[in-house]
Amino acid sequence: MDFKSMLNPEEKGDLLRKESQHTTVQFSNNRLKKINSGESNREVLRLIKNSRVGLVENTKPENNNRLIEMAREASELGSRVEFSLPGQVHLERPEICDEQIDRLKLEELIRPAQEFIQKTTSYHPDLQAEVSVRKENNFIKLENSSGFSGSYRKTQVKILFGLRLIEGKNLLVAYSFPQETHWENINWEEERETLLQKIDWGRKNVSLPSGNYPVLFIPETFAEILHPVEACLNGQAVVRGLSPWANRLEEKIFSENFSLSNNGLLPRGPGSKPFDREGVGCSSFHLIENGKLQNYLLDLETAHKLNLTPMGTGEENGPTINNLVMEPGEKSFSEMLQSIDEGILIAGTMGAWAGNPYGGQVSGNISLGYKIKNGKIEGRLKDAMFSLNIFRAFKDNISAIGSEPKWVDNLHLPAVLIDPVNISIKG
Amino acid sequence: MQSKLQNLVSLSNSDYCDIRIEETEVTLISFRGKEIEKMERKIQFGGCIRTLIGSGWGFVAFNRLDELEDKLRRAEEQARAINRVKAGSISLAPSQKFIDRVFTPYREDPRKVSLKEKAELLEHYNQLILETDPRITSTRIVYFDKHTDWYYTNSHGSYIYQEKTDIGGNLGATASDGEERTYDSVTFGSTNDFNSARNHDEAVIAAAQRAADQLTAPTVRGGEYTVILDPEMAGLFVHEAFGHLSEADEIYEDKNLLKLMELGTRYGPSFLNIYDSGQEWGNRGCMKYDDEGTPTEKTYLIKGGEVIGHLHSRESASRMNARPTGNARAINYRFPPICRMRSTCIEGGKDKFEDMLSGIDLGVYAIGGIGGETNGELFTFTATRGQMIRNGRLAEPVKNVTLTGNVFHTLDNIDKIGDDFSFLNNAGGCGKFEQSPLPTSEGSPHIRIKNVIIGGES
Repeated sequence: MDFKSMLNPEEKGDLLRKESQHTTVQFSNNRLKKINSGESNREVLRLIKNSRVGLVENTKPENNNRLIEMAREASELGSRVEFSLPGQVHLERPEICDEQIDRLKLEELIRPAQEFIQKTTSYHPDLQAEVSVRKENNFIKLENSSGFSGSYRKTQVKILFGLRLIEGKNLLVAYSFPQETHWENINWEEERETLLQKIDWGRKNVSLPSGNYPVLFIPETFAEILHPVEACLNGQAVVRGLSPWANRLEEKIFSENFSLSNNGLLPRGPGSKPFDREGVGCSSFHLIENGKLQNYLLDLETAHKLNLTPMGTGEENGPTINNLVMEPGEKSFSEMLQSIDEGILIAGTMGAWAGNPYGGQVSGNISLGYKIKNGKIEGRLKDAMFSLNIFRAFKDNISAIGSEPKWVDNLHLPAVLIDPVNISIKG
Repeated sequence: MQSKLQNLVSLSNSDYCDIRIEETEVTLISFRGKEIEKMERKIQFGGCIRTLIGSGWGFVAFNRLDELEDKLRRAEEQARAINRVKAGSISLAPSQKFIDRVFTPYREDPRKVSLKEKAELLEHYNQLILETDPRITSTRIVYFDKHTDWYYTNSHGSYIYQEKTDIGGNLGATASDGEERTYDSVTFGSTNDFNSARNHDEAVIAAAQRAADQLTAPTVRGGEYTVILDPEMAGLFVHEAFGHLSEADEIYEDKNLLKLMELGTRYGPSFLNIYDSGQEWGNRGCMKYDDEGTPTEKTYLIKGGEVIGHLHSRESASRMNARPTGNARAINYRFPPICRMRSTCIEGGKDKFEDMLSGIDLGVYAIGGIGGETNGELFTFTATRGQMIRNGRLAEPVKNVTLTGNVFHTLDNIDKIGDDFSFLNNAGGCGKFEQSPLPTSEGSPHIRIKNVIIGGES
């Protein structure tokens, strides 16, 4: 469809088109359970008239007239915007497409998952594995009334590994969710070893009195407690005055060793792409550098309101990171573990997102936690909760940052040791 | 549509095949702070084909209705790929053949209310919240309505058209004193009545005032308490903690879970009754047929403190030698149906609220549910707000009330069930695997639980 001919002269807007095909192979309780595939053709029209926006999403083919009619109706009552849409610019193109993915046959998706399960059950016959392997091929095209027109292809492999062991009344569960743009980047062996280690450590239950302890967060659980930071950096929260970091650019908010950046151009990064949903080129920039607040996450609207430059983090639901990268430290995981006389390793949390993110208070259930004694894992801690204020903790209580960062969705994070963290334990 | 779908099904070389086609129109309006945030419409059109061959299911979803036979063959190829490597075969519990057309019994059809009227109503609530207290700094108003034409056919000869409507809203207030931020809200939801969105003025003002007043409330001290859950929090508990464990597709292949959830197992006191119903008309998640064309029903999960039922699809019912209960649900055409809840309830008991308070020297009253999570055995839920109970009386308000524990022990520790049952509909929904949010609702009276751990600084 010709986008410009759809609009009247006084109307502005953009049209996003996403076409994707996916195939998912799913194992449950050690057995191949399902194979699904899907084709999706989706378009989103954003129509701006008299500075008001109407949004319409459509998946019905040949539906232009209805699409435009609904967008016009919605725009009459829509939110007011002042930004202008970007024109054509030069775009950098990170490596995000693996030609191999399209050619992968069903059997090739099934085989490595079967091997994973064979090896986990030969390790322990009662282990129940859940594995899902999804390959995706996406084509994204964006056009706007200011002359921007761009498109890209992106492939993705998303794997879910889950191991469950029930012994008596103990239910032990460990998960991981690796996600890559390239098939060869999935490290099946390493994922298996890491999960088996978590199961192995958890088979003995130990106890500890409630109190304050040094706590080692692995990248997956550090991602959970980092959520308030992301929320406070969001330009919408800044504009609305919800973020405590409004008007504080260049101020020191965290300790010297804390650096966090957004990078949309990392080769093979799960969140990498040439441009965002609004046609702004993606880029790499510091959010927090050596503890100093440097930038917010912005889309066109929030950048305009804050009089800042958008840098490619505008998505359908407002400002969103491309890839969030934390600068690693110098200590290996085993060095950090060995440095703890008595403490806790948190490998799984539940409910950590539930609190108010702008206050920095994070508390949750420790769904998978271990007691550390004299630098070694002693066993699993059950019925425990953690609670900390991450604003205070990231300023004063980071004891060590790991040297071995890992992708957790589109976050590239090290393990982090925080001391003290308040722990309450039942019994 | 009927002949097109039935022809396609007749071409299938599978043991079983079903097809769904859906066309949904959505209206979404949100406000934040002083301004309207989003005015969005959606047309979600698409379909899916599911085939069963031997031990394997294949599933293909699409937006375009062209080349349907190719799509059918792809679904068959997937089913065969599984059948080659997996022993045994899947059978489906019998279901009748249904030819039916089901229309929503509207009290007030949201499509007959103009966008302008909806936007003005929400703006009015938004304004009320902002004017309630100077400490209110922002609002979070969300409203949606959805109308779906659902067409279903299967190789047993059923052909069903079902009209589905879903309405939900959240009217939330955020308060701040510069340091702390607190939140409270009013929610509503329905499957047949736009009027559920109206007449919330007093409730909205009260919620905004509570959000502001919570600012000065202290954080609850962590520890073990006797806790009274209000109906909303109890509804969240029964859904997250017990409802999910009752989903039979999770149970039948896991012998350990099967043992925990075996029929006849005792959980909770002898006066505990829990059910999941698709027939509480008007409540979100209720409808005549599930996404396999099985009629819904009222299914008891616990009766008299004993597990007596599970939530079944036709496959899980066959495997567990049970009846299909009409719980096979899919969030939309992109997904195959799986065992899901509808309206999940703790049946009302006989205790008065005052009797539940008496005898508690030090306890916590947990009110409203912000959210929760479980991993089977463990759960964590956060209340919107709390109040201490001291010497049998409600005392000072507290905040950051997060409950955690073992599901089964917690059920056993229920010692009082209130006589004040109510249904709870909100704008949220249930998540399982990738399918979220699925419309569901809950119902419960107040319940009292002993020895619940509450997180926080101790």
